[in-house]
Amino acid sequence: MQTLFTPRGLGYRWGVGPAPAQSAETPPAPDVATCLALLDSALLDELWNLSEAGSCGLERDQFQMLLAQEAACFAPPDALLTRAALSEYFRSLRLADLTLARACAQGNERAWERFVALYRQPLTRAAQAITGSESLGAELADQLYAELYGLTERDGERRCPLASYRGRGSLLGWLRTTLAQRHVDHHRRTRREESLDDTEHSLDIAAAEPLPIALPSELQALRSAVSSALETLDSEDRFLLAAYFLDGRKLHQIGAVLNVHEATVSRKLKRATELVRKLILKHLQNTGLSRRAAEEALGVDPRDLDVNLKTLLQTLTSPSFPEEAAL
Amino acid sequence: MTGVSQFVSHPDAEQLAAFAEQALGPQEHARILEHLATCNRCRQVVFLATDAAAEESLVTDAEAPAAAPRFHWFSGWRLAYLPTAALALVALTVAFLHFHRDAPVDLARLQAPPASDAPVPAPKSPQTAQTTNQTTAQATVRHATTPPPAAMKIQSGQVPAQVADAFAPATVSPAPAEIAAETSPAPSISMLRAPTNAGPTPSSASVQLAGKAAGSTYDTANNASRGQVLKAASQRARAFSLESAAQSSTPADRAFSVMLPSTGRALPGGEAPVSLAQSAARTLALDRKGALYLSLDHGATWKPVVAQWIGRAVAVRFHAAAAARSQQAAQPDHAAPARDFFEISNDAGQSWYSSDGVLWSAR
Repeated sequence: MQTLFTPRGLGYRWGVGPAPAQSAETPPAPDVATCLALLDSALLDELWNLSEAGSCGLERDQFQMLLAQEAACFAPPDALLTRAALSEYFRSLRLADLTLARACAQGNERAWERFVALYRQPLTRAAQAITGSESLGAELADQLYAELYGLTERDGERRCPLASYRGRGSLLGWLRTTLAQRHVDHHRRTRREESLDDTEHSLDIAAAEPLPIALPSELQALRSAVSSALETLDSEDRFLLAAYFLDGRKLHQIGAVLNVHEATVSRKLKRATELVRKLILKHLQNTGLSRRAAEEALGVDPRDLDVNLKTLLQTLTSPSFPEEAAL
Repeated sequence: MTGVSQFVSHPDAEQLAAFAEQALGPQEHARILEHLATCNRCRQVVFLATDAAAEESLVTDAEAPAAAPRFHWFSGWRLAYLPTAALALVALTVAFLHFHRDAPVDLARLQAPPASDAPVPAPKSPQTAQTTNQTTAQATVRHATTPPPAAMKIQSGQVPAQVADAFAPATVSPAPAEIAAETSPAPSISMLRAPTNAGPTPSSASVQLAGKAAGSTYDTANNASRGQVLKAASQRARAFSLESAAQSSTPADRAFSVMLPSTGRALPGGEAPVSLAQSAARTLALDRKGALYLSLDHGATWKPVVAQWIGRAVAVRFHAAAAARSQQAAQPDHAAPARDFFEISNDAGQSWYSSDGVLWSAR
């Protein structure tokens, strides 16, 4: 099993497919001893103050080892690893959150007290917001909390999901995303068990396989034109189209994800739809249709068109995700 | 496709959370976005997490008013406060310097001839001086037949350029008439530059220089010693009248201050000033055609004043306030006005008054 998102280096290189040629030339990852040597007392003092490690119940040598292990796993390779680079790397992280998460993962009681004081209520509120239900939210939060506490064991070893937190975003954001993942995965697993009355008809209709009917040549051309036009779009445009037209997200929701104003999202959406139309027309004209005929073809009833946009958008492949077509 | 394999190829929670918080670099952000464009599950996760964060921020904002609002001095538009304040300070400083500029005042010393060694009598009160002047007392030195000094070739209606920027309260000590008439040569005026905070000044700084073909008449009826520089260079009360000596009202104390144009240059109308009056900050000048000009920078620049009088203006004067005069004069002047004002007279002898030199009204 291959993991696409490998936590290696500052940029988290992608371990997709065969190893790239340059990976052989990449310097080896620094070991813990190297990182320990780079963590002199001055840097350690600085990071200690930044991380509030004292309030997490960590000793100084524990903190030093924690940082060295972190740097050995995720910092740049040996050739680039200097004291300054290491300092910059740790400064780019949410060091306080990272330290708390690591201390909790190690089972430090004081760290857990701090975690509960800081995150217990926000965790429950986030779960309730995600599930849209108070009881379901509380249940989801409790489930994750138990998992975080390390009640689950694998191969006789206590496993804490907090160990996978790497401090790039906030710990609360990570907790929210983890809750959302749990909720979505649970929903996707259990959706098949729902009765037919409860299913979302719109989604089913959109995702339903079209009847194999014989299409006129214009419709065939239009279908291929839509497919090629969507393939031509860049990732942001496809994300916008999918989020707005397929998922039915509001403009402000999309804007919050992309960190832009909803008016900007609206403009981008308009531009993307105009671009799709232009590309389709161009593609139709390339197949031999006149411009007028191409525009007439665009006016065809969508129900006559054998195009499943949901399937089409979600089966587009990108170089980084060759396996995504299998989704 | 198993359920597990389907999830392995997704970004983990760390990356999705960092994406939602805009904490990723551009390349990784683009990769995640590319994945989100095709992955419904990860889009759902990101949108759910973002919505939960938005709700959390709403809760936080609702709880925030309990705490004291913190004022961030250096955030957002407040960053503009500092340069704006600095700009305002500079503007205020420039304005202050402009309107309170201490222009040096030239004192004219009317030097009596060295031959006259007559004892100097005590200065007279303004009333006495006026009476004496009216009755042609001996203390008055008149040089009616004496030609004007070479340094002051004053023609009727003109201001000598060589004494430009000179304002001189000049005082000639009273001398016996016979001595003055027979032995005294024409008094010479020497210009002394004095600071504006010089001592007391004659209240109505009005020297009437009747520059006529026969010569100048220096009406020296007031108090001073011979050869003594009259320190009383008034900052406020200065008036100079050439043509209108006979028309102008008699000043209260007939102080000998001479106000001459500060630059000697022609007024905007092309004419030389024939009458000038100056307060601390304002200078008014009349040209031969009767046009009045106002300067706020001691004659460097002039602005025309809209005529609000009838006839042709022939003289402009400045009258200092009683308070200022009583501080400067030895004795209080009860005839002095309560506040500073300018006076303008036309060729029919009518007068208009203004406190700022711009708006004029008949009394």
